[in-house]
Amino acid sequence: MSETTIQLEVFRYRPDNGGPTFQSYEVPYHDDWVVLDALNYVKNYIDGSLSFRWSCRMGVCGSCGMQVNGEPSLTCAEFLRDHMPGPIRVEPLVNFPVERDLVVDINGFMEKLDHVKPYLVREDESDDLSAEYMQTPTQLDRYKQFSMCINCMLCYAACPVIGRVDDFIGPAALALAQRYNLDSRDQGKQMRQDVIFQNEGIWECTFVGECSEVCPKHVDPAGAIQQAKLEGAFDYYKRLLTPWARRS
Amino acid sequence: MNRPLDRRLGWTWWTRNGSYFRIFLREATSAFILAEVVLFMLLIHKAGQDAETYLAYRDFLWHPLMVVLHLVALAFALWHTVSFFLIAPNALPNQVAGRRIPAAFIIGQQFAGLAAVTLLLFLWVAWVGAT
Ligand code: SF4
Ligand code: FES
Repeated sequence: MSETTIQLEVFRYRPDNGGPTFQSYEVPYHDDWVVLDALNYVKNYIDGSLSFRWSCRMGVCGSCGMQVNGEPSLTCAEFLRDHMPGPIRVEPLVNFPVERDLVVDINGFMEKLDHVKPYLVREDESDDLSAEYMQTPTQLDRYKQFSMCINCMLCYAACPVIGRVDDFIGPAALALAQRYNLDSRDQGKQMRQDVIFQNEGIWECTFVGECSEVCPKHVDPAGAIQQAKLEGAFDYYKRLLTPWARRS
Repeated sequence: MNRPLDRRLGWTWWTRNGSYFRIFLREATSAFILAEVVLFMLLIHKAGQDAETYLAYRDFLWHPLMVVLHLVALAFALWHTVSFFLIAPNALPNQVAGRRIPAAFIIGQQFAGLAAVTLLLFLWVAWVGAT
């Protein structure tokens, strides 16, 4: 009996080799194979020139995100069996500049992450590394969902605003800002507000909601952004109505 | 070296798939709401003029094509309202005073509020009509 196979149509782009094209590869089909396994098969046995990123193969590192049949997906979690009989179209994440084949340039994303200071900021920062900041389970529960992000950038590929507004800080970074703002141990909210309330921050979001649909970790970045908007509007009116309480 | 390839979705993003198109339509509903608001404000304006002008405008609003517009606007407004209610729990903090609020409760409250306001308006209109 001949082996079952499935066809991959893979996006190829080699900067010194003309424009982008699609290349087809016939790979063996296995029930328990994910798209990443098929790509690795191509790389190992058919065409060693194919470039793509991956690392953990278990949905943790966030480096294997690509468009699978047009949907932003983690290729290590996307089973071939869900796309039978094929073909399966594999492209680099949209909205990012493509460096080569399936590899995108993530520098812009990294800078945006950096802007929101995604770490605990303490006013009383001490050098005492044994300092402990206690937190109750209820306090943890306020932000836990937003802390599950693996920086896979699928939400950036799903977001139509990112596709039009270059500087939009975007779903994952804004969700991370909210994650730290909600953390009882953090004191950096004021610093982050300057970034998330600017034009390219939360107000750029029109609540399309696709980011939350594609997020493999159920972070719900769209929800985080709307919560930040609500809080921002509330603070604005509070300051307007109680000018004497204005912070210096 | 060649520049990296630009693959942003751009202005035609809403043609890319069904769910984008639905979002686009959802946002477009505001155009119909705006049209209805303008028609309503004109109605108030005409009501302040003589009876003839007012009645002519009222007949215009009852024109079959206008009725179609009203129905489309109503359908869009209801759709927008329902989809807004359904996503509202995501836009609210998950706790109030340290207690989790179930999403179903938030959604239910909004529908209950809408029903109450609608009922009150109907009663008021009926009362005004009867007196
Ligand atoms: S929010 Fe979700 S989709 Fe976006 S980067 Fe984080 S894990 Fe990925
Ligand atoms: S390879 Fe790490 S998330 Fe897929």
